[in-house]
Amino acid sequence: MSTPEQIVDQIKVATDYQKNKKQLKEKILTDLHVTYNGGLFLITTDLISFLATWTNEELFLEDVYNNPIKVKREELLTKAKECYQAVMNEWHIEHEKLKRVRKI
Amino acid sequence: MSGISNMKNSNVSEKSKGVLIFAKNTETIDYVAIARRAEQLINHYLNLPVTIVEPTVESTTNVRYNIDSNKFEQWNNSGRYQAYELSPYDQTILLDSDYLVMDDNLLKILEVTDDYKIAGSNDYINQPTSNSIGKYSLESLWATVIVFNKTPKSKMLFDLVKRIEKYYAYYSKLYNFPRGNYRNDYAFTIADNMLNGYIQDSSNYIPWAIKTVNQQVNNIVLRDNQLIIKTKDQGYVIPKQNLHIISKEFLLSDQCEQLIKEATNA
Repeated sequence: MSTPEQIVDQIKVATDYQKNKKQLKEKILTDLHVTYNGGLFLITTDLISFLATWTNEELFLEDVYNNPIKVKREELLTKAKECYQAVMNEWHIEHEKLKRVRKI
Repeated sequence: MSGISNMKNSNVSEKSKGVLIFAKNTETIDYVAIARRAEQLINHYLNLPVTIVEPTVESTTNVRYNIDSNKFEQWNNSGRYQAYELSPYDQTILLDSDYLVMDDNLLKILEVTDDYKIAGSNDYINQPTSNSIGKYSLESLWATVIVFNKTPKSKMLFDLVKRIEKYYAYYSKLYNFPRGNYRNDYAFTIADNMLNGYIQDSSNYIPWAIKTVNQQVNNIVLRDNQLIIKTKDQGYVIPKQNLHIISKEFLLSDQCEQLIKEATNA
């Protein structure tokens, strides 16, 4: 049978769901970066929507380093959707796993 | 003729790429052994050659608090500016020996670096990080991870770091931070600031934070793509990613060897 001191120690080393959730989100944001034609893009729903609706096939887009990068719309859209799908799936899977871990 | 497909010049030869790690043993810590372990992970996740070098500069009298032994111990961090000359690569990822690579995100930075990119923020796993080098000074950059190409601007960065290291007492007064130990983080922060016209410009920063475990580590286990980190005070469950581990005792432990085995077989 655990003593109160042991229980306190166990709680101290238990994992904190909110901290883990924050760490997971930061990792997901890192993974949502893709390189394209010398630029680095953070894939967001805004970027995907913009690429999906823009009418010209070639355009210039600002990357995370504030550089205008020449892009082929379809090409970047495909890459962005692939990255988004894979990373968001990963987020969902990892988040489900986190929820099953003991939380305080 | 126009179009992106014509933008590549086939006459340009492939640039050499690799990872450079500085490691110099102290009386108490085998940094070379730590670097050898880091090398295994780099080979696996980045598929790049690794060069481990010992700086040829005489060490200063730096000491730092060892979180494992609870004592102040010798710390060799001099001569990081030699990375530019010592790197055998055109494009280099310069890492601290205690940085464990467990994903391939640094390859993205390598691909988009013109001159250099440096870690602009550092998240301690257990607490918000103070990112300022002094109370009324610059936001700190982190020399733990620097990606650079051999260009005139990068050379200027490392030359400035050399100068700052040499006249550290002067720069500590100029930039208003406590002198203490020589810190590469501070020297690169100041050099980057000077090189960019005395402004802090995020165009040279890696756009995500490095993750640091700054506590005594009892164990880190890789399970189902998650890193289960057990520190002295708390447990963490985070996705598999690059980690800066301050606990050298853990980095030299059998548990770390096991982690590397698992991470490279995953």
